[in-house]
Amino acid sequence: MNDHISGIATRVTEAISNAERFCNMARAREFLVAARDALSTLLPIIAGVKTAAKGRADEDGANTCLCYAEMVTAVRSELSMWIALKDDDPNCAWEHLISAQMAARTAMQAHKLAEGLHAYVDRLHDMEEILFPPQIFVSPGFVIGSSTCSICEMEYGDCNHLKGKPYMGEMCTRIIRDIRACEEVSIVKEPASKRHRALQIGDGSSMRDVMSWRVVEGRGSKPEPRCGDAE
Amino acid sequence: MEENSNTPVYRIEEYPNVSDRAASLGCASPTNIALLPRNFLTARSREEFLHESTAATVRSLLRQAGIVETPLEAKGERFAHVQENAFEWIGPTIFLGAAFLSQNPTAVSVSLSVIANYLTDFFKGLSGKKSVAFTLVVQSRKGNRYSKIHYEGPVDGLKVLEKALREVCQNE
Repeated sequence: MNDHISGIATRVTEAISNAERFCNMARAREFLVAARDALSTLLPIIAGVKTAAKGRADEDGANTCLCYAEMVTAVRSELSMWIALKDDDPNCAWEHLISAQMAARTAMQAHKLAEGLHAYVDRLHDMEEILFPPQIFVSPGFVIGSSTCSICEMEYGDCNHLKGKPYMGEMCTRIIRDIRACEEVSIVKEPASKRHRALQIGDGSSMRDVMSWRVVEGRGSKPEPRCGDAE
Repeated sequence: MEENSNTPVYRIEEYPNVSDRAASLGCASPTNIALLPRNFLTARSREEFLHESTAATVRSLLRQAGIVETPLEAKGERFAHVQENAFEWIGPTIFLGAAFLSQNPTAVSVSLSVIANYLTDFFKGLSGKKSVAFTLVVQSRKGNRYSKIHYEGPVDGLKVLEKALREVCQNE
């Protein structure tokens, strides 16, 4: 492993280990914020090392950096979740939990050094049920004309890049370009994105926020603003 | 406690004539290996064809494994695809022509292996049930009969499709 990347490995491991001490509801808010901010300072440093790796055409090094960035993002998002819960903002907390789950998954897909994250992934999944009420997930179904590869911008499928695989430090995703029709919206148990969920539900006399159970003023009132810190 | 629904399950049933169906809609008749659209049997015209969202990925995997496809699409033609955001991996229906099976005895194993390896990585970082659905349509050696093998279950159970394929070939 390149010296720069070894150096990052040590810093990431130490920072995450330190931050994990505050990943629970009992710790005082100011310590969670400090731990989260400390992790935030690592991200541009990792990005710089990744850029250097890309410059050397060091794909393994670049993917390693991607993995570390996502691991940092996962723990940072988890801290943001705990902070949001302390701030009585469960919708924002949910957004951060989903960000943490997605980042942990990306880390595991990016490089084998994250293969041991299974226990952390399971813990994040358990938090859905322990910290939040059951959700009603929705899943839209579309007819798509074309989509492009995020790595090379060719029509996805025509190139050799595969969705969910890392290439020189970037994760390949499929970008939908041409939606021809929305066929349906279904309620599903296992959605592709757990951000797609019912936000309000009626109790017979009023609409309530699914998370907080507070009454939402007026039917069809504007939805909650997106959590500013969610990725 | 939920029953364990992650046991590999496959079923075999008859399938209509693929060549005739393709010809009726003005499509090239697949002879080798081809991806069939989700609504191959019910579309009123080729313009209505819809591929599974996973078709492009599977197509790329097969191509990178050196498996040569004889697609339904004309050169430059592109069928639309569905994008459904429930989390389950539904593979495209893969047609296996008689010529392909006899000339490439290891190709099916290679194809399934390549797809299974991709899916193993794809499911990394996900908790809960990780199951896939996959369908093969197999042309008989004489070319006059077609069988559908449908699989649902865990990724590492995909190899049971090879067993199902042998069963279909032996029963011809």
